[in-house]
Amino acid sequence: MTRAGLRNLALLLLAAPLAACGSRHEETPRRAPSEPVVITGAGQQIDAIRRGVPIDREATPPLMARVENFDQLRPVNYEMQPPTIPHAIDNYQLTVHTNRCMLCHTKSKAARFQAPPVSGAHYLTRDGVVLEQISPRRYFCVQCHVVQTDAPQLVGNDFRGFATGAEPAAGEAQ
Amino acid sequence: MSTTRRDFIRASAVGAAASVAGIALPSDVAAVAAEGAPGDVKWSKAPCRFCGTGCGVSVGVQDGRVIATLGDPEAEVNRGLNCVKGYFLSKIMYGHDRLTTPLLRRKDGAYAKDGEFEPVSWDEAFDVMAAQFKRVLRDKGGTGIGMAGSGQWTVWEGYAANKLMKAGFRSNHIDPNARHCMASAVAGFMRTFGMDEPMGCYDDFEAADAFVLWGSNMAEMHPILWTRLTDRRLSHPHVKVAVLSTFEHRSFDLADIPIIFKPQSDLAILNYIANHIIQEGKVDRAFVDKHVSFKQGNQDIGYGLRPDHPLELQAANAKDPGGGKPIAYDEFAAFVEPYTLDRAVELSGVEAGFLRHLAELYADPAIKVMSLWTMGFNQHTRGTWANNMVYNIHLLTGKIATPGNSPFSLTGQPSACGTAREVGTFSHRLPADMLVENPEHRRHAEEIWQVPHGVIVDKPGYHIVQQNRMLRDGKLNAYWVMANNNMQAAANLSGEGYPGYRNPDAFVVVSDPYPTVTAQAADLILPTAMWVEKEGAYGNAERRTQFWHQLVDAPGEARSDLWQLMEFSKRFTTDECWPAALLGANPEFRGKTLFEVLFRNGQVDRFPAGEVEAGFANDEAQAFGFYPQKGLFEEYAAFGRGHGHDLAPFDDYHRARGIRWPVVDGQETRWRYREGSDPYVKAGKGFEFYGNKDGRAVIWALPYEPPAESPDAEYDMWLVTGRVLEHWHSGSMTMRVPELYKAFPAAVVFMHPDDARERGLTRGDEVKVVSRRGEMRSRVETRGRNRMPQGLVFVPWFDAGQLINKATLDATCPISKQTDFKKCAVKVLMA
Amino acid sequence: MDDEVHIASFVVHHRPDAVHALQRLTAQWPGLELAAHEQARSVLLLECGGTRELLACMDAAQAAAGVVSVNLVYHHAEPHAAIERALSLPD
Repeated sequence: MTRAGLRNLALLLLAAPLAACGSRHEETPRRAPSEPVVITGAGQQIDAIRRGVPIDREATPPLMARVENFDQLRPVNYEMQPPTIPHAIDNYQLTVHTNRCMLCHTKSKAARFQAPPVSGAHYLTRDGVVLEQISPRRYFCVQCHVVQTDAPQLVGNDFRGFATGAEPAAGEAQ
Repeated sequence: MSTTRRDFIRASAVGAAASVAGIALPSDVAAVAAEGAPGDVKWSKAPCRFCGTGCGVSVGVQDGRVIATLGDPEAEVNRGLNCVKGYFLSKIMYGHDRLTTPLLRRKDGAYAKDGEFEPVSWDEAFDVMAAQFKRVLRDKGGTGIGMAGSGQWTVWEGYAANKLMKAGFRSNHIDPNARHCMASAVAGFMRTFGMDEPMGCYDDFEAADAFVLWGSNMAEMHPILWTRLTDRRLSHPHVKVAVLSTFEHRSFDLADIPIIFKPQSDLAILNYIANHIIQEGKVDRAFVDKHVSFKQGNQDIGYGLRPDHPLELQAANAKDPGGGKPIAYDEFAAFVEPYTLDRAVELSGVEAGFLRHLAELYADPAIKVMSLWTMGFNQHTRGTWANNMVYNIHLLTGKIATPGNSPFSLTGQPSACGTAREVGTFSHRLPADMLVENPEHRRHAEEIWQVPHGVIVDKPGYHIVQQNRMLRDGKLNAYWVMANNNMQAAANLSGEGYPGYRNPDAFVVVSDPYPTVTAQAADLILPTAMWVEKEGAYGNAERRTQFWHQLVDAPGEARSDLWQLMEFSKRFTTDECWPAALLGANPEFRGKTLFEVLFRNGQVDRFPAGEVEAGFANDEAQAFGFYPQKGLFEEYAAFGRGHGHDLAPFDDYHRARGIRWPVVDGQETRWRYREGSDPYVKAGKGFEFYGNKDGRAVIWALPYEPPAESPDAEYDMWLVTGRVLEHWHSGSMTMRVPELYKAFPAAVVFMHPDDARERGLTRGDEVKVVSRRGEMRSRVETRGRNRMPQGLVFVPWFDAGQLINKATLDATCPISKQTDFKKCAVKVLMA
Repeated sequence: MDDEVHIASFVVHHRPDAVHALQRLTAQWPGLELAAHEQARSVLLLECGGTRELLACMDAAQAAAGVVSVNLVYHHAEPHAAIERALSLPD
């Protein structure tokens, strides 16, 4: 594996414990970027996903979000969470014979393409038998791995991962 | 002793595996795990909160919060896999806008329909709500009260709601959102087999030689079952996959036989296959002669619209859509004879070769076929017919109830089967497939419930589509919505739903964990506990009943639906709800609260709170002083035991990864209706469809009929609505999970590039989707995961910010009353 | 990938007499432990250097006499440096 590839993978692996202890994690900010829900006042709308537009009215829809295509591995929230896809996958062909994703992410080719290889679990059948090729039950990558767009978040989420006690970030509320 | 991160991860790994295997840990390992807070993660099993597949997950809890979810390798359904939604289950409870206190519309400190939401106490919420319900009871009795429930209710919540409505308030106007999802499947099962739910199970995936998807995008909507299908297809090259849809979606990636058909013409294709089987001499006559009877169904049955709609006035059999008469095999053969390959090609627009290939899969006796369907069949103005017609071709060929030969109706909600169907929370049903119209069934239910004969009303109530119409018409006046988002989900929001909820004659209560569109339209919002914040039970699509324990506490003052139903029942006495004559004949019920009659009845309160498994909280047991989940389950199980719906004892389910009913002598049943596999089939019968008195399944002669609305010169495009992988139904949970939201943040209008070009549109342009009912604004998508044929647009409905149901038509299958969300006419204009 | 630590656990379903075979396997296989066992189910804990080794170990467990199935439950990998960090336990 090349130097750059190693660095990318190390980023992912280093990031996991950081995310796990609930520190700087850009996908799950502690506070919603939108205004907090206000439950009093005239004309109030409590459904944040409607962006304040009353049910019987229609507003201009948000601009089409763009798929983030930076090849930067994102931290995971906990071990065994499928990582999100850090690049666009437009026109990736998937048929019975072709799987565009596995062209780069299969164990044997990952290093050459500087892509993180899929984990060992992807080589197991439903009955736990280890295969040489990716298991047919893992063939549809996008069932578990999804791209991320640049859409601004409408509602925050205060999920916290494993509290391992390791290096709690300064200023984090418990 | 110093603990490193290595120790912690090792302890987590062992803890997770031991919990999965049900092994008690040796004390030294447990000690590492218990070494202060860091290692103290407790893993427990639960079914996934989303679709009807019923995957098992291991839920990790630390310091009273869910901190991780893993696919459960011991769960038979998914063996360690989850889809992307399942992997992010751990976040669904932690959206920032969780409701933590009741909210009431008030003005000057008092309830007002046009007031603004203000936080109130549970006492004030229930005081106002009870006063409104009592006013309606005084004015017009139970018929003014309604409830919209859910296939997401736990089994005991649905059962408690059913009792409260049908026996307590004497109203059959209770119906689940599963009506939008499963009603045609139910009606199909009842008409063909006399008994609800599939004969086969998921084991069929590993046994079939061919899979046919009839209007189901499993790759996105049932991903884990799709992995089982994919596994079979890729490991066994002889296996074929046929995918039928009105547009090309991700399931086509695996299709050997890809079929894009014109909307509604699936009916013609089904009859062509039946005709092909007959013409080619491939009917299994021995099976048909012994196990099948034939009926001709009523035709020209209307479209389930309001009775004064021109389409209903024109229809010959709008009053008796489900009727029919017995016919002979030859008459059936003559009925389908006009459905030749040419006619099927003409109606469907599909290439002849594909249709012939598809028909051959069914006709060839050597090929074991699994047919799969969801909303393409069920959300169809002839949805019941479509279900009947797919059974026709399996019955003609005897390809049924054996491993791999399986007409299989998939479900969209985690307990559409377990709660909506088996508990009978439909407006016409009672538990275990019984009907409110049948006096024997009512009497049996009243006996189990220990209430006087005559309590249950003898007419079906308003189904969920009708409920919105009746709110609008001022016939329903006190309405409780639980575990659903029907303002967003139901068709014709502009014409029926919103005017109904905001009608000054209606008081609308919505119980939900989040401020949904439906909550926004309500008068009172009750904050609700969800998923592992309460003890629960779901039943999945293969008759598998699965339990979980309460693992964490609900936030703030949020309470479970079960607590809400039982606590509210304390505020009513029988004198306020039942007629004087009934109480005169049964004076021992006088002056009792509904809580005493329905839940303190010696059955539901039979098990002490101390029986809750050690180490798990149970807020309801603590509140009521007994173990209501167990009492309700055991009372409910009495309906089905010995009648083909046998459930195992309560405690067994907390140990197992689900058990498939009927459970007889401790054994689950994988294939029903077949001797040797189903204990209810008598020896020597081979097969027995015992839901029908004669033991025969019914083949129905049913025609192609046109849809309720088709594109014309002005409204020139078909509108199809549906889901996407990343969001589940109305998105009230998944839109609050950052990774799922960012994967697919907003609805779009999937459109053919040429259709866009003709309208001067390019990708990303703002458009209005306009129908005769209303309009929504969105943006054009000409690329992405779907390939649209010309003349048809697809809009997903998960996005509360873009309500496509303002445009949809509330036409239903007249038999099942399920809305057709797949066909109406719209125009798409530049905004 | 020399600097990486993989920690994984498996649930093994086996015939009661397979425990000895599993014990022999753990004795031979560096980093493999029998973390818990009952009559017909055991938990194996493996610490190793990479996915390839992990899969080979699962193969070996699957091949042990009396083993019915081996299921991977937990798999985590991170650099050596990170994993040796002492945790600061709350008081």
